Amino acid sequence: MSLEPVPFAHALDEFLRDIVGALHKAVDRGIAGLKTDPKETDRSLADAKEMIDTVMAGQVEEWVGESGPKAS
Amino acid sequence: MNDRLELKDIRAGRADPEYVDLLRRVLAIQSDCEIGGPHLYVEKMLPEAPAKLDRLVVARTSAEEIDHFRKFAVLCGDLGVDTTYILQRNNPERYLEAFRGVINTWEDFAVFGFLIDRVGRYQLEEFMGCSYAPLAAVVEHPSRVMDEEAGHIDYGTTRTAELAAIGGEQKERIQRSVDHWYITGLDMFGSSTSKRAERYRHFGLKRRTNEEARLQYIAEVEPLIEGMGLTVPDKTKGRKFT
Repeated sequence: MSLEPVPFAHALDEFLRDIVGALHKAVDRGIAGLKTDPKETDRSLADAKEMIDTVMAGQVEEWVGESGPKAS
Repeated sequence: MNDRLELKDIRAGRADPEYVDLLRRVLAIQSDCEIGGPHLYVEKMLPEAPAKLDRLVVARTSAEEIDHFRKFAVLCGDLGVDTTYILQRNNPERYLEAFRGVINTWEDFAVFGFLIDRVGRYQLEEFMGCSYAPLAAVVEHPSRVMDEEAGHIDYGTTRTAELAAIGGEQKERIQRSVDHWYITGLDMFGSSTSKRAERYRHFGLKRRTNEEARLQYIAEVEPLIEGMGLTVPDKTKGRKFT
């Protein structure tokens, strides 16, 4: 059992933190647009979908650069 | 075991190897459950929820679950557990049965929040005051994790009650979702005779036995189901763990 820290763990943490922050902003924009600008809501939903799809795809190697997991 | 450990204690070899093994395991499972939620529902529910506000709620819920994953994943990484496999695995490979399928209907999304996120709250409560300080910090004030989970539960409970109140075929559909997810939720607490669960308690990583937590959940949930005018499912039917 290795207790060596995963070298890209904190890069992954930063990447996800940024995505989550951007997602919350997109949702806030979308909610604000519900009454005043339905097209803005549509745009924010499209942005949110793109960001969530990125996380769901799980391409950690692309997110964290050279420190990331090596493809097997 | 009452001492609260920090990462530096584990690095310095001041923790029982069994403790470290259990800690790594529970962190990996919790990470898997956090990211497993969005993997279940986002593909269908983000584009197909009934109204734009509901779609935004799906997006916000996903954002919060991704953030919870992040918080557990960084603890994993500090202990040498690479969570890449959790981000990349397919749903059928998830640790818990509840996360191995796909949510295709709004009824299932609502009941998932009502019943399964509620089980998640029970699991997270186990970590409050636990023996690994960085894990306790994820769920204790000022962390927002418990508040966010409560929001998911409230949203699911409200939507479930609304759908039940419509009556007719809609009520039958929501009853079917409750029938499915209630049994799945009861099994999520694990076996009442689990030896591993006892070791978690021995090391202060959990507080309640599986059975204690399950019985508390039943006492909380059944009045809610009845209050919605729905039928409480047979607790013994289709169960994998008792």
